[in-house]
Amino acid sequence: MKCRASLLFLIALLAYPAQARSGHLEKVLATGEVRVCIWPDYYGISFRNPQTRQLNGIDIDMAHALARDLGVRVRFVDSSFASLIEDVTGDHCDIAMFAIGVTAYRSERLRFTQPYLASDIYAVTTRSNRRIRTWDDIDQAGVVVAVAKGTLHEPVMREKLKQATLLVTATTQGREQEVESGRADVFMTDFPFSRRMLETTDWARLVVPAKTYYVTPYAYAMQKGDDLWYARVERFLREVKRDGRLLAAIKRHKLDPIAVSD
Amino acid sequence: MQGRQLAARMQGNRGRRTAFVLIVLLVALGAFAATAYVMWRWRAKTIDHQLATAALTARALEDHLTQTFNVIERTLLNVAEEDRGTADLSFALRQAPYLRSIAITGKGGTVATSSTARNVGVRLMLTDFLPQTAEPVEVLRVGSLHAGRDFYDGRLSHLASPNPTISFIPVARDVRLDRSTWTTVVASVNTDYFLNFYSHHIPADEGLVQLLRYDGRLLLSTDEAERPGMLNSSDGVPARMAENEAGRFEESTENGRALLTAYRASRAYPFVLVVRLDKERALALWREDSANAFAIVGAILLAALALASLYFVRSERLTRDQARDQARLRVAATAFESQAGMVVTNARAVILQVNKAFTAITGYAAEEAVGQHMGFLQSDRHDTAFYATVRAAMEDTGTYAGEILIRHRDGTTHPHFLGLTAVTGDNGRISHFVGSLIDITERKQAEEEVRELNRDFVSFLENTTDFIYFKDGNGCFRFCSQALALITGHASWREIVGKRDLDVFPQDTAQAHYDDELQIFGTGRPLLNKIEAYQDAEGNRRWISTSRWPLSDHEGKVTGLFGISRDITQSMAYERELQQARISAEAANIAKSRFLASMSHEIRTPMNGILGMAQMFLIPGTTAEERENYARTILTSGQTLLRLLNDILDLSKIEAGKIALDHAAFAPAQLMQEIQALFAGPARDRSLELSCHWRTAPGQHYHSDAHRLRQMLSNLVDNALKFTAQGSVRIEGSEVERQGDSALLEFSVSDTGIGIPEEKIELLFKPFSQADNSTTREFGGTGLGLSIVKRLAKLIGGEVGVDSTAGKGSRFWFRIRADLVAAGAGSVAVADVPHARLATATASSHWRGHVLVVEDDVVNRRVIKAMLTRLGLRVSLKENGAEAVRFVITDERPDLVLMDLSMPVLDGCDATREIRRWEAAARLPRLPIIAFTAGAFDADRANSIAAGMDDFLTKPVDLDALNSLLPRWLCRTPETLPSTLTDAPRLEHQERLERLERLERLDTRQFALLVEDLVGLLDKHSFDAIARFKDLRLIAAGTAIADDIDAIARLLDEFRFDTARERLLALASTQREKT
Repeated sequence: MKCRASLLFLIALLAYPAQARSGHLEKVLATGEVRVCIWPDYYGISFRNPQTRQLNGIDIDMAHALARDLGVRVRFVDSSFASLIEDVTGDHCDIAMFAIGVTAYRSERLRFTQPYLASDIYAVTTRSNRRIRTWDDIDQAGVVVAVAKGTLHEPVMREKLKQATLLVTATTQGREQEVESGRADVFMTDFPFSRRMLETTDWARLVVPAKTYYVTPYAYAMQKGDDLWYARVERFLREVKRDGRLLAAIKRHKLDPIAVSD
Repeated sequence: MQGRQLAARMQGNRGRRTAFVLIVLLVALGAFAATAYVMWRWRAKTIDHQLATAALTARALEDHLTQTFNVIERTLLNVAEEDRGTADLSFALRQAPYLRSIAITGKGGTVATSSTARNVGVRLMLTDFLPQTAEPVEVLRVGSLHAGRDFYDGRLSHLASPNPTISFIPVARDVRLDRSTWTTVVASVNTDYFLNFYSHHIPADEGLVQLLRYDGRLLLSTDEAERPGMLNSSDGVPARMAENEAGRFEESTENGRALLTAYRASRAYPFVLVVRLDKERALALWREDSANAFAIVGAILLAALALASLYFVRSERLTRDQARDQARLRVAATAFESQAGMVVTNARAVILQVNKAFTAITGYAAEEAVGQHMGFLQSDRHDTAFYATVRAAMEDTGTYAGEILIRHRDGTTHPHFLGLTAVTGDNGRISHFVGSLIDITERKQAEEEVRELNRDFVSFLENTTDFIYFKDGNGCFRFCSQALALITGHASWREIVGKRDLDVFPQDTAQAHYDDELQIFGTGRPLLNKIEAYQDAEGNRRWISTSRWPLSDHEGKVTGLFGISRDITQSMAYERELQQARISAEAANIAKSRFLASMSHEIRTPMNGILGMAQMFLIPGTTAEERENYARTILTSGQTLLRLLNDILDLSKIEAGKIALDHAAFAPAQLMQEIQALFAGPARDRSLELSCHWRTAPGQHYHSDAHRLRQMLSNLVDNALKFTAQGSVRIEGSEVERQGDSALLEFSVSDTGIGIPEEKIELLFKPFSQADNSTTREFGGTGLGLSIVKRLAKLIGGEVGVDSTAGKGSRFWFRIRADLVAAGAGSVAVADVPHARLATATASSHWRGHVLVVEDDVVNRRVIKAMLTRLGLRVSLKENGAEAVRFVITDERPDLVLMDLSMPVLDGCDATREIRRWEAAARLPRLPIIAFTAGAFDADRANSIAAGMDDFLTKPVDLDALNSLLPRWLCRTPETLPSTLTDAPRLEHQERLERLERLERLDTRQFALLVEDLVGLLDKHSFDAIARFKDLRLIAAGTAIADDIDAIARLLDEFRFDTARERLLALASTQREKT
């Protein structure tokens, strides 16, 4: 997995050798603020509790850690997988920190750190769904599979599904509504989001692949070209991996099953 | 008694135990019954509660259903009013998961517009919708369940078709657009939404939720096995719906499943919501609770039971322990009030308690002793080391037992046996001391006595000469006398202890002992005075007398024996001698009686002659011739008497062996002639011929006692003459045998008398035993003649014999051995014959001098005084020895003393000794003292010579003998000696005289009383006699009997009581006679 991540990283470097805009680090230090893109619906990663408006998740902790290392404040900028590339490349934030799956498409446009998590794909259906019992029931005729537009699942499932019908919703909420209303049978998501479904709804049922289906490494994304910034972030990641801050955060947010072991 | 108490206690225990078990059972049953009742009630309540829950759930779900459908109706109404096209339709589905799609129908019932594009153009069949109506109504109508996702693939679900994996319920709402125009908006309702919702409320394992259409058709069921669309005939809900739109009840399905059912019809739409709870599942909690309750109750009961049992057992044990402790306490209390003095102290030896025996022993009352330290009983008789020993014993073993001297309250110290025990508490420390005290004063004394007895006994065993032994039941020696040890070759009697007879004696002796002892063990009776022979160490045959007694235990069983053996060899010899002496004495006694009878006769005859003639002599007018005849008869009779006495004396002398032979030469022929001459007169008187023949050489002389020969022949001739009435008596003699210088002579006297019967010949030579007692009376004679002959012949070394034929005559003979006298030795003077002596009897002479006669008998005094006066002597007379001594010493010293031997006060011998002592002290010449006595025995003569007398004169006094004696002692001139004495010897003799006089002052009365007392004590062999005898010795001290008393005292020291008694009686008798 590491090799694969490194390979992807190498491809990304080759693709955009001189496109980097300089000065993120300088700017961060100058303004005393680091802007971090997050997806506030990403449970366990960067979730904003609707009741308290408080942010919670591993990457909230890591963003704070990064800011502390840099000696600056952190400012969170709401983003999503649909708007990720635009938010980063548009310099709405200095770094996107919400467990971004490293895909070829994204790697062409963004610069990823080395991965710190890696999740397979999971399916969520309703409890009362009598067609989907196991993973193998998914790719069958008449079965409707929902994915959110812009997520890494969309290209993967489009490629993988042979019999079932793929339903791409505009929002992540949409895929949930489709499944709950019975218009779709399952939607595809990753481990952290599936956890959120199981914990916050009473209708969701998790369908786990019988064997490894499609594992995606998760990393942080930055603009391409700012080597200094990149090196600093990389150093940070190395340090948190080495000194256990990362592992402690993983454990704190119950993400052990998808932790990347070096 | 104890057994009955134990049985009663055991019965009590059993009763209590049974009661306890019954109570426990009752409590347990009660608890379980109560629990069961409560649980049963709880079950009913649970069922009620579950039914209520089902009803509540049904109500909540109905409410949700009605609300949801209300929203659906509103949504459909909005869609119909706004009709904004497809995009708007899907917008209406936002946040409405219960709707899958919304559609608006166009002409002909086909879908004109739909949120789901694929629905467009699908023709809808609204015929079986409820409520059924032919005209449009402004009510939401509900169709049957359709299989499929939406209208585009939906088809009516039939009972025959498989249970659909995805389904929806179509609903329709007719909406009036204007007065005549109606449009119908339809929606496919997402059944999964409801199933999800219901399954949250009632999980599958607890029961199920059904949604029925009002007509009873099953639309949805959380139970996947139930087929939607079916009409369940057994379902009680539709039937009840007719009566009540909501209700609850219990039911059971066809397959036996019990259910708690609640139903409720929607208040606005044609639905009935049914909640069916599994009764078993509903009761599971109750069952679990019941089980738990029972378990808890059981556990509590069990715990309570265990506790109760524990308590019961404990209380039982406590009761038992209390009973045991009380019993122990009773025992302890009884033990405490025992005979021994008991004292309890604390750990510092301060007395806490004492018993009555303690008070009785020490004299200290309880209140005096309690609070004192034990030490207050200490005496000063033990040193500190002793108390250190006691303390050490207590520290080492916690106990001490031993003897101790303790001071009593009265200050006296006594030996005690003290037992001390330390009482240790639970903490291992000494809490108390308990002491027991036994006064062993008496025991110690008894032990001392036993020790003394033992010592004496051992001393006795070691010193006695008797053989004494004790054996146990096995015949082993326990102990024995040292004498027995020595005779069996042991150095000490202790070596024999434990041995058997076989180890000690030869086998035959041991066997004999064994037999005897077996008999004693068998019979239990003693075996007394068994006499046995044995060999002593030197191999001499000796005799012992053995007595054995059994030793018995307190039950009378023989456990051993003891025996005493005494060497009786010596005493047997004594006994034999005594026996013979007794026989001899008896014979002598008989002979003496006979002799006295004979003597009476023998003496009467001459006495008659003397007395008769003396009377005739005194008759006046008798002529001188007659007087001479009378006097001669008197003289002859007197001589006969004298001869008789001499015969008796001779016999006595011979028998006593005190005759001395006087060897001299003699000629038998001459001797025989003298005899013939001697008896010629009597023979002539009896007209008998008396002849004499010596048949050997007439001149032959022999050496022998001629005097005794003459006596023998005289006796025989006298005898022959006496027993021969007519005929002759012949005296014959010859030498019958010659051996060198020795010859055997035979003399015989033959007569022609009456002869002697053959059977009486044996008796002839025995004294006082004439052949016939009657002969004595006829012929006279003492009967001693032949006895004397026989004894003299034996004395000389010869023998006697007799040949006799009754009626024809007898021949008495004797043979003697004599030495030949060589021829030419010359003739020998022949001794005087009686006739010669008779001739000188009248001769008289005159003497000068002073003679003292000491004689107690007045007649004898007169006779001797007459005779001495006739001889011309001056005579003084004294009646006893004491008078004589006093006369000689103080008055006048005579020239000669005639001293009688036997006299009162002081006898002749003692008087003579006194005189001799005085003479020696005064250095005076020896005064001639002549013994003057009727005692004719040599012993008398020897005694008188030993006492210091000079000569001997026999009573009755022969005048010739007196006449021949006087010249020997009166030839000297008595006046040459001083008649007065020096002072010193005189004073010394004064003391002697006082001593002599003190004899008379012996307190005879006191003496007699003491003797009487002592004889009584000696009779009983009482040792008190020894002490009493000292009084006697005090009384007799310094008197004449002092020596005798001392001698008797020595006998007493040897415990010879009987002998002492005899001697004392004899002495007393003598004293009585003297006084």
